[in-house]
Amino acid sequence: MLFNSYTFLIFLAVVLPVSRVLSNWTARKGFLVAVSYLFYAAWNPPFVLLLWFSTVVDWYLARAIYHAAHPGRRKGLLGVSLLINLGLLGYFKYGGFLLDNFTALMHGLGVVYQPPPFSIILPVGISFYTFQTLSYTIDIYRGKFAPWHSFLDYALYVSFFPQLVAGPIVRAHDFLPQCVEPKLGSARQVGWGLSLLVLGLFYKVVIADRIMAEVVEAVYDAAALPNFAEAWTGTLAFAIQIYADFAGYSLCAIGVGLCFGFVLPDNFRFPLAAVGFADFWRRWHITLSTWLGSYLYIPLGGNRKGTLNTYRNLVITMLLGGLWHGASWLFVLWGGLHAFYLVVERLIQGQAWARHRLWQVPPVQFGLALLTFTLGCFTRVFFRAPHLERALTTLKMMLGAGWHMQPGIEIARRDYLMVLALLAAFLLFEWYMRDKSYEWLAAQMPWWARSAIMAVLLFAVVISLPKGDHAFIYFQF
Amino acid sequence: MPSSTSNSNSRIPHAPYGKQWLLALLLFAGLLLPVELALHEQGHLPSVTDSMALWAYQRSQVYPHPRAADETKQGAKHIVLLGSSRMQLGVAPDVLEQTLPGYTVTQLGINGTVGLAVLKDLAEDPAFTGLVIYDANIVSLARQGETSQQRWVDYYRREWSHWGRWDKMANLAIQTILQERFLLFSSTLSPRQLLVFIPGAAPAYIETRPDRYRAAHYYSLLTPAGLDRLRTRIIDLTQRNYARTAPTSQADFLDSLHTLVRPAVAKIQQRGGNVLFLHFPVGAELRDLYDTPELRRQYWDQIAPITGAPTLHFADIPAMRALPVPDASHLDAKDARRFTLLLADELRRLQLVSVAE
Repeated sequence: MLFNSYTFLIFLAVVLPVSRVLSNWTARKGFLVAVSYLFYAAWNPPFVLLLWFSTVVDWYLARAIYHAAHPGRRKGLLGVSLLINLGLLGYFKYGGFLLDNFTALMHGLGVVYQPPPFSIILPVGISFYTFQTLSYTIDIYRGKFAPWHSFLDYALYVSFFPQLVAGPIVRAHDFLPQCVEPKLGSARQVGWGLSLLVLGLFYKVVIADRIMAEVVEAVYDAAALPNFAEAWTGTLAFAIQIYADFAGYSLCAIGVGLCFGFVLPDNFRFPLAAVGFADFWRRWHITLSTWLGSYLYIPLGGNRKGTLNTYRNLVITMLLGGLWHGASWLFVLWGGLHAFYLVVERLIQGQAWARHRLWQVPPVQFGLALLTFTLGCFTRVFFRAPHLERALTTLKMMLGAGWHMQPGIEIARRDYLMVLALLAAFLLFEWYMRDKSYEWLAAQMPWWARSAIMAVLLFAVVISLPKGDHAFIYFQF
Repeated sequence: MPSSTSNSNSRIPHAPYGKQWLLALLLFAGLLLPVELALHEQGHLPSVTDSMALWAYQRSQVYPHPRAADETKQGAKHIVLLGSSRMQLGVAPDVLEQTLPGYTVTQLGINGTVGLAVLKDLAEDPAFTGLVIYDANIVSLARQGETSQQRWVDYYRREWSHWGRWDKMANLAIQTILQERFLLFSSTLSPRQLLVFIPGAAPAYIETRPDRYRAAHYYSLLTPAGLDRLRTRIIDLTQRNYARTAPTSQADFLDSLHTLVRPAVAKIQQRGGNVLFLHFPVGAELRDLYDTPELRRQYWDQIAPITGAPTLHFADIPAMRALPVPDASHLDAKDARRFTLLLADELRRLQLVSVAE
């Protein structure tokens, strides 16, 4: 079920009041687990069994790890959890990819190998809920968290529908303590939660789907090759599309969670205003980057074992982070380019001239943010292109090869202007908001001005809502 | 670093949220109503979104329904329309159903594509036993278009083959009801039109109906100059598509007939179904591409003997040949109705349908 669907609006309109009617806290949590499974089943019912399996397995393994006296046994049980969770992820998400690469390798070695047909449906959200259950088990193994006393709470933690299919990736220590005291979204929480839901839908439905998607598809999915201007326009449009799509989803998730009284972690902090790539990853898909930091980068040694090892750890983390997004070498290249940027940034930061006060002057900082955004666009080409050849061609065109080419894509002049105008608006808004929050912004306005803004956003969403089949891009990950 | 959203209850701004949302909803309604009325005034027509979900729903309807709500449709035989925009704009399923009682007609044509992938999909579906009417010409049977509709087939197989389709069907039903009744939800209006160009937003000349028939109102909703511009664009687009997707030679075309089309036709015929290859009218500007005596001899005349399926060429039926083609490629809604009636006559004459008189 998509947040931007009519069925979700009906679902929410039924579930929210019913949950408020239930006065017993345990009954309300049970109801939320049941409707979360219904929400998941709306996509493909048999896969709720997988969600249930993942939940039950980690619940019992975590308890066993906690009670195991022998370190070897604890390690073994953790290994079982990793094997099961990563095994599920590997089978459903990377099975076809591994088989294709193995076949290619065999062919490369001159061995004729015809693999059996491998057609597996990728269960929506598996990358997200697997990471949540893994973090619970690993935290208990590390002694940072004790097994939770209530299976119902744990089941709600894994399946809570606002964050189930595309995050934010919630940690057990953030969510489970919220299950202790009875929760009923207060008027403030519901009022603000609905505001975030409308803002998120505006990002997704209007900006990502109705304005940017057409230009992006025209450039990246056309048979014809784009020239310089077209390649840049398509890529800039994609930069806004992917941001509005995913940040929109996160805003919806946080808003809906708040309506039920639950606080979900932040996932974006105005990332288009990031100065440098380390800053970018503190602002973009925060719950993934902190997850990778806690469970991969730091265990690898982080930055504690010398410069070279730090670079190695960065590269491994970013390559695996890329692969998390999808079973494709394009995502690996995307992660690799990010790793390259991070390594170069660290090298630069080590130079004396890089610590000059000049770099802290606001206009220079803004210039650096623009540079970060522009360099980030080169990574986004790998994220969006349907295949490597198209990605490389698009990059070549962006780097000047397409300068003298005739237009090959049908993009109207007003679409160029729309992309550029929205891009400028986004960059300026994000820069202005860089160290602020939506709450701060709302608090600056009189209540009637917020009403007017909500009315306009709702209007824009309604007239844009029913035009096509646009799932959230991050559903595929 | 502060968060951009509410990761702490204490940061949620204080406001009279009840009053705020009440005013927001009033303002929202105040925006919707006048715009809806203005769109009616400007002559816009309701139009549904021709989405993959709508196509998949129609695709799922090509089987006999023993318990159909409409008794005339119980156990009805099926006619499935395949092809491109010419099929979508040229044949009205409701008109064909009225003319051929006992038949259910499903529109599966897809704009800008050719029907080979869906023909193959139907051929490989053992439950399908109906009549396929295929929008056929030199391009639409060439191997170059083999996968142009594959995305729709894959979507149907992936998303419509399990219980998860009920969510999509419910969403589709709500969307269709809203789009049929309110112009603001119409698929032909873009936010850009509504937000920026409302005063001069010209009505779209094509409306899509829930049965996926697309009615084109060239004469009533386009000015003569607008129609000229559209014709130039369609001719240019058709020529470019032709250059990309036409067979490289006669041998290439015949090979496609032998290896792609004939096996699919044979499978459908073995189950008691059939396929009719129908050539739609094209304007004089495009005749060189589709309809010269040489092309007819080399390409069109080869289809029936190789595939074993009947063919129907518009040029052979004087009443069809006489129909105007305003944009050089598609029929106006009024002429599409006439074309559909003529097609029904031909289906009877070719004994592809059996209708009690």
